[in-house]
Amino acid sequence: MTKIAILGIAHMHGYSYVRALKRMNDIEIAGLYDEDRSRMNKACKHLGIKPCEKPEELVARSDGVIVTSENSTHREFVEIAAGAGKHILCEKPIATTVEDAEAMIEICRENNVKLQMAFPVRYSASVRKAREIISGGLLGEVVSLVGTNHGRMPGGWFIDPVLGGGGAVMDHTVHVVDIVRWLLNCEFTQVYATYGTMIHDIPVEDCGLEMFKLSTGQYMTLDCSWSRPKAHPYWGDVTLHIVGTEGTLFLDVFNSKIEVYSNEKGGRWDNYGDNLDSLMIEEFLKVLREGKEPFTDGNDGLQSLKAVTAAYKSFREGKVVEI
Amino acid sequence: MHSIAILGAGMMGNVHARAYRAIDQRNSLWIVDPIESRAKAISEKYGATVASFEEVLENSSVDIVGICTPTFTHRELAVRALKAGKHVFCEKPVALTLEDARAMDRAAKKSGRKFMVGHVVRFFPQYIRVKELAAAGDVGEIVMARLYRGGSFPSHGIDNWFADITKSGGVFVDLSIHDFDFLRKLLGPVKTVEARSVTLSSERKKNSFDHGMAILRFESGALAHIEGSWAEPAGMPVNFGTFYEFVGTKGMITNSYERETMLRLQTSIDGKPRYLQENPAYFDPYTEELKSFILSVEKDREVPVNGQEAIESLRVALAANMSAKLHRSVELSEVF
Repeated sequence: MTKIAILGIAHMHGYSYVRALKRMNDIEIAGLYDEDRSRMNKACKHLGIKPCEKPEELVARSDGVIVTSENSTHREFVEIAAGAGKHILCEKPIATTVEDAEAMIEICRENNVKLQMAFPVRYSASVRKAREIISGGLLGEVVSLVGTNHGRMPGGWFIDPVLGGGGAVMDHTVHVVDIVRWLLNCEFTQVYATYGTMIHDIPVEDCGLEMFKLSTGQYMTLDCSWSRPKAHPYWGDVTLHIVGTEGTLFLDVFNSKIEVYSNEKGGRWDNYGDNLDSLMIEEFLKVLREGKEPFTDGNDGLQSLKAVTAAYKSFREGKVVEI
Repeated sequence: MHSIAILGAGMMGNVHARAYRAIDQRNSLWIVDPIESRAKAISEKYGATVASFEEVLENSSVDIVGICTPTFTHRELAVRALKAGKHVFCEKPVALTLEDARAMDRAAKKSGRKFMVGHVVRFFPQYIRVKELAAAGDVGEIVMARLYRGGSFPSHGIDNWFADITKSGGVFVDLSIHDFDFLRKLLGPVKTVEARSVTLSSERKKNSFDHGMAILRFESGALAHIEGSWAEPAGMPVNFGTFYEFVGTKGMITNSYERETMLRLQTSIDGKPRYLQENPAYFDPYTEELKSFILSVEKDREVPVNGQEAIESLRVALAANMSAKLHRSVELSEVF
């Protein structure tokens, strides 16, 4: 029986991870800790898991730890888990500062603990297929990329500049940066960013556009906006248009959709594709049970966060900055 | 009823000849092209008289000149036609430089003749609808836009002129200028452009910008992402397409040529596979555009897209080229 502790349930992905775990064999959810007791109790009731008053205690009786707290509090929970020698799956973005992210990687290294990053998009079969197409030379040489990660404005702590560490740029840059790093085996070297609070009356940016330079020479734009209106039938998208000298590839990771029209609930899209959270959790179980190195690790988290913090710097300075 | 001389018997020359015929069967058409066979083809198809440019200029019965030649030739042809007292309709982009475009605009003002530039996207129904919806306020104020326009490389150009950036201006000036123009009308003046473009390595496309992406910031604060592409391989079943997404404070508007298709055909006759994907319509944006020009001539009204408008849209495209060349963001005020 593999026992999993959940530290923080601020991120709604935590609910999805718990549900994925519950569908798997030989898993026990050891319990949930959250600083916000009402949030903790609500989630425990909803998910049928045990609340826990002390994170250290919960971690001590677990085999692995999932951190789905607010972005800025990932570090403290990762430190508790790493201190106890427990492998970790950490929600994205890894942290809100590069300093925190580096400290997290370091403490995991010191304690011989594996740190997996929650980049579910990289677990999509469509992304793997894209990588095969690129490495198989079907596009020729890749010369240009255009990405999007649209979403709805999430509200709550996501729009708290301290807890979230920013807005749409912080929330929606890292997924596409991560898959492109893997697809092209590259790093992000430069960024120009422009963003603003355009749609909602909130204290952080809700729309942003970024122009990145990659270590492999290409430029890539990314639209990280929370620009999907409530009326839209789906939460958002992750897309990538890859242009090569011999061909082009369009990737729309969440487009395996069914259109549903209900007189009661209106219209919506349902996704029938692979459950990426489940695939990522399966990977975490391999990390725990077989000692596998995680497919998406702390360094991936750090590198994508560097792209984010550089994007903020670029806008403040009004120019291209090095990552 | 008009006497119209079309300069250039290429792709756009054909489009214009067809449209002028559709507008009024009685229109007299003249066709000018250095390649006799191309001029003859249009002459036969649309009942046009083959002529030289000089003959057209000297013929006082010709009241309209339509310029459908490669971009680098626009200035000289337009200025001479205007000086000869002709009304001029010039295909987009108006010219390759602001200097050329301004010379054309000055010639038009001096002549007192009508001068219109073919920013035809303003006449496409799915773009007209965006303006109507934006005005109706259903989605609030438009604050962000994404537009794609692209397909395979335009290899139909005579002497492969699209491939030479000194003749076509590349993908921003020749293609994305449609979207720059539309966005300018929708969102107002552009403030900053951050753009990059790449040239594909194939020898055929040497010297030209084939794929470009531009991030625009408008004076209003609105943001836009424009992607223009000549990067699709040749010979594909679908060789051109557009996409747009306009985000407002209360909703969004989006359309994609791939999603929204009325008719799809897959057939194989005698072992020859054929694929067709189309939205057939009786409404022809090019005919509407030229009709609006003729109306302006007949009623002596301001044309829908004048020289000044075309110059402003060209400025955005040139700013994109400048940003792509210098690898830094460019203020529109730097392009003058």
